[in-house]
Amino acid sequence: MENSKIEFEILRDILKISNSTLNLHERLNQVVEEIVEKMHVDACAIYLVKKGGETLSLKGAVGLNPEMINGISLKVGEGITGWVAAEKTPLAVLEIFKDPRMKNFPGSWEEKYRSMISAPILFLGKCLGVINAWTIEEKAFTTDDLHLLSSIADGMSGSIRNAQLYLDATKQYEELVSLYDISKMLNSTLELQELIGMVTRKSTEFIGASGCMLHILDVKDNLLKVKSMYGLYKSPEEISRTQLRLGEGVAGQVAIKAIPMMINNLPEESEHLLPMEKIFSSLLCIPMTVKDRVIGTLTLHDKKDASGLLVPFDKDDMNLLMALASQGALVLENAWNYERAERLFQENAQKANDFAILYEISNAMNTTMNLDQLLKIILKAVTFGGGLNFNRSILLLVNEKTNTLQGMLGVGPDSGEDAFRIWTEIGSKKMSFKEWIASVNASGQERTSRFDQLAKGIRVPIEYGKGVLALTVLEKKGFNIRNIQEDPRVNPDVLKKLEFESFATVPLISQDRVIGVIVVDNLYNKREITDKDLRRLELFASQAGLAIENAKVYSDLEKATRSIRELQDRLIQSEKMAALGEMAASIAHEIRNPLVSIGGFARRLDSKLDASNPEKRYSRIIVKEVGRLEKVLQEVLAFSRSAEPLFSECSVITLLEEALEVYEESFSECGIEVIRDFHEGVPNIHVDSNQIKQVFINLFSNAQHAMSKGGRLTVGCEYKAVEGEAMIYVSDTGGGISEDVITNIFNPFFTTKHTGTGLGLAISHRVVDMHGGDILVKNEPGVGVTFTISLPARQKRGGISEEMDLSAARTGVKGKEVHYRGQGDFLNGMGKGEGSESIP
Amino acid sequence: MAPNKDRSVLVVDDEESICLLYQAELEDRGYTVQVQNDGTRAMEDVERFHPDLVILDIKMPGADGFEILNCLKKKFPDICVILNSAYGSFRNEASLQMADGYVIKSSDLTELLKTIEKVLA
Ligand SMILES: Nc1ncnc2c1ncn2[C@@H]1O[C@H](COP(=O)(O)OP(=O)(O)OP(=O)(O)O)[C@@H](O)[C@H]1O
Ligand SMILES: [Mg+2]
Repeated sequence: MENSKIEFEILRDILKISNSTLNLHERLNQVVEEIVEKMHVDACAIYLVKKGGETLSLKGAVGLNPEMINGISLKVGEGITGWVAAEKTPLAVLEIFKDPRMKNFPGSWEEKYRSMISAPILFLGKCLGVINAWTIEEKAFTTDDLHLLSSIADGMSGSIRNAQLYLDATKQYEELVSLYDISKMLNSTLELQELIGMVTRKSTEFIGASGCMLHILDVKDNLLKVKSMYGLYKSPEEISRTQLRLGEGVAGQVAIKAIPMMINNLPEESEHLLPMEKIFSSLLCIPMTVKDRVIGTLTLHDKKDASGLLVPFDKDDMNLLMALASQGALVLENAWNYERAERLFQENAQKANDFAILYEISNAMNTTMNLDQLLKIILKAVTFGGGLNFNRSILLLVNEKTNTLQGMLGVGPDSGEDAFRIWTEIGSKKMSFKEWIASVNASGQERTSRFDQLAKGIRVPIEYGKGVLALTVLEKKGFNIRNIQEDPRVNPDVLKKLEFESFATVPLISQDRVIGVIVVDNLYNKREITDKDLRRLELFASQAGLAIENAKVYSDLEKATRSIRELQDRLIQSEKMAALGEMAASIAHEIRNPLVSIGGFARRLDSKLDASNPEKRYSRIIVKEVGRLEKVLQEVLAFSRSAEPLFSECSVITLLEEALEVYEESFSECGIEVIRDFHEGVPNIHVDSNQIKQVFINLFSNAQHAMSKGGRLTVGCEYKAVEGEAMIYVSDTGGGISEDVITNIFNPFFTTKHTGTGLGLAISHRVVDMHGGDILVKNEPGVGVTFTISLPARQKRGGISEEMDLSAARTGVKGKEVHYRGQGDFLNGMGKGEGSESIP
Repeated sequence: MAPNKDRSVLVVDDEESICLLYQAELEDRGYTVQVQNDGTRAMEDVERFHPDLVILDIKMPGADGFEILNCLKKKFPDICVILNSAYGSFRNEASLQMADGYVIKSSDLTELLKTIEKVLA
């Protein structure tokens, strides 16, 4: 018990920490501090598995050298910690330095400790890290301790997993952003075309040629292409073709051999030349290389001297041109990098955007972890303009029990006008996804759209032949349906109501299982869904699947915590009852003895008194009252031993009448009017009649106390056929119960009376509980109190109504004021509904 | 009243009023009655009077009815003992077996008287 209390506290704190906005590092530190405090150990540390899954690194510690955080790195399988990570089992070690697995890191302070306990942090079967705790004194950790530490590890795993996911997403996002920044910088200083022009012009002018031509090798088709010309050419075709194969013409040969060519007698040379190259008399062609790779060629034609006469190219020209070419090549290479970067960025801009949204989803998740909210966020992301940009989307989840797909949520405008309004609103405010989600949450309840309602109504069996939604699950892939009418895969019934014309589906996958399907369309702007859209949606869906799985793990965890908490509550309740038992037993002795002598002597006196003696009436009263007290005492003792009730068939109304009889006199003395509201058709109940009668007596006693100066007591009884319950209510006009009192009235020994024991309601509650019933109190401060008891009662076939009539007739015969009503519903608005306090 | 003339009963109970009540009721029915309020002196009285029957309270200051029962039955197996207690339950079921009868205290002495007759018959 003690352990489960600690476990509960730690788990609760860890959930709190996991939910906090602290970064992972701070969260881990808080967790280890919590463990040291609550588990009474001297040191605690958390190791996390690094990306790649091969090494563990120390991330948070109390009692180890803080300088070693991030400084200790262990291979999975190495040391005790590594062993736990590899085997995925918790471990307790009595003497760590005798353990052959032990690996000490000098300076870590681990040598201070003698015993240790270690548990893996597992997430869906994968080891994310290890928690260790040490003691200075030798300590034999128990299986309970192992279990507790494992529970803690479980409690943390979701949080660690998420933190890592966010980290990855941010990193990728940041990489893309920096790439974009570099490209922008390049963009602002260089213009490719301008640069190339500069190279050709400078080369022509420096060497004094008539013209210059620059070929660039396009790696895609291995063709040399003219990118720039300077000088006296009329058109590129005049001297060359715009494209050359490698080896073709002078440039083609220079490019392939990567050596310069200088020809000063072009017309005679024929071997390498294309016919049109012969219109010049001389040329100088230089390969442009970057890191030994030819990226193009630079060709000069017809060198002339200052007076305009043709002169041959010489060695100096070649050297100069080579220098220029290498400069140019570098500049070009930079420019291309930019171009490529820009292309890459454009390709990735969308991805970056997805990542940004995923990142924000993750952040949003961190604040909710609530599955419903998460589903909403996912669909918002799908329809958000800056996100995936579909008009409408529906999310369906697989129900494994019934093997069906169930619509969970639909997001999208109900009509074209609606769509226009929403989109202009978002557009005009230029909202980011984050702001949009926030604004959606802030505005409280969104109007539930008709679309959402229709979406929620979707149920599709997961079988072949049941349409494309089922197919998406069965085949684990998305579909892009261009024409809903003509496509045989579509089951027209399911989607007709939603006015789908063309749409796409994508599976939500987690752990290789399809957990749901997202359906999207563009009903309002009729934009065609491309395969690229679909791929992006798939990427998104894989992330969303993970997020949903996380949320589920989280909610399972919450459920587990809740059950621990309920256990705790029950524990407290039973502790109270045990205390009650002890008290009752010890006061029994004190009360029973005097009762025995009072009653005993009263009997003695009574038996000595002649029947005609007027005093005999009084001795009778003493005998009777003591008898009653002894009986109550007997019953209190019986409850404290948690005696099983003695069941028999009896009539509720008879029991009520018998209980009322006990209070008849004091009611009339106090001026309390009693009204009976007994309905017909209440079947007999199967109860311990003494105990149930005692409950009624307790309620009447309280009512009488509350109305000592008069009032009205209404006692009612009705059969609730649907629930199969007999409902009894006792209502007074005694002014009600104050706020601070009402929460305590069912606690043993709570009383506001000088002579009260405070056991009346506590015992009544227990009795009703043991009968499988419920006791509720409806309090109207300033007016009065109504207690409602429901007890299981099943109408048997035949005979019952007769029995009922009999008991009703009996009460009628006694001449009491009996109110019969039809099948009216006096408990409306008073039963378990609002305004009533349910008793734990 | 005569039938019980030669039957002697010792009542051991720390509550004086109970002793008084039992004494009055038993003497009315012809028993010879001794009472003892001090549990620690119960054995003395048993040795001195050697009664036919002892009505023994269980929880008394300074004395435990079960211990007295044990001791008494060892020394005088022929003396009958009825345990008489305010409690409805006993931890010591085995000791309960040693007694000739066991009656929960009640202001209605009918059951006690019946048990006495049965035990002494
Ligand atoms: N009908 C009522 N009207 C107002 N207060 C009530 C009523 N019933 C119960 N209470 C409050 O709840 C408290 C607890 O009731 P409960 O029957 O458990 O003990 P008690 O009546 O004080 O003691 P006892 O039952 O031994 O006489 C009461 O002291 C009283 O303050
Ligand atoms: Mg009460």
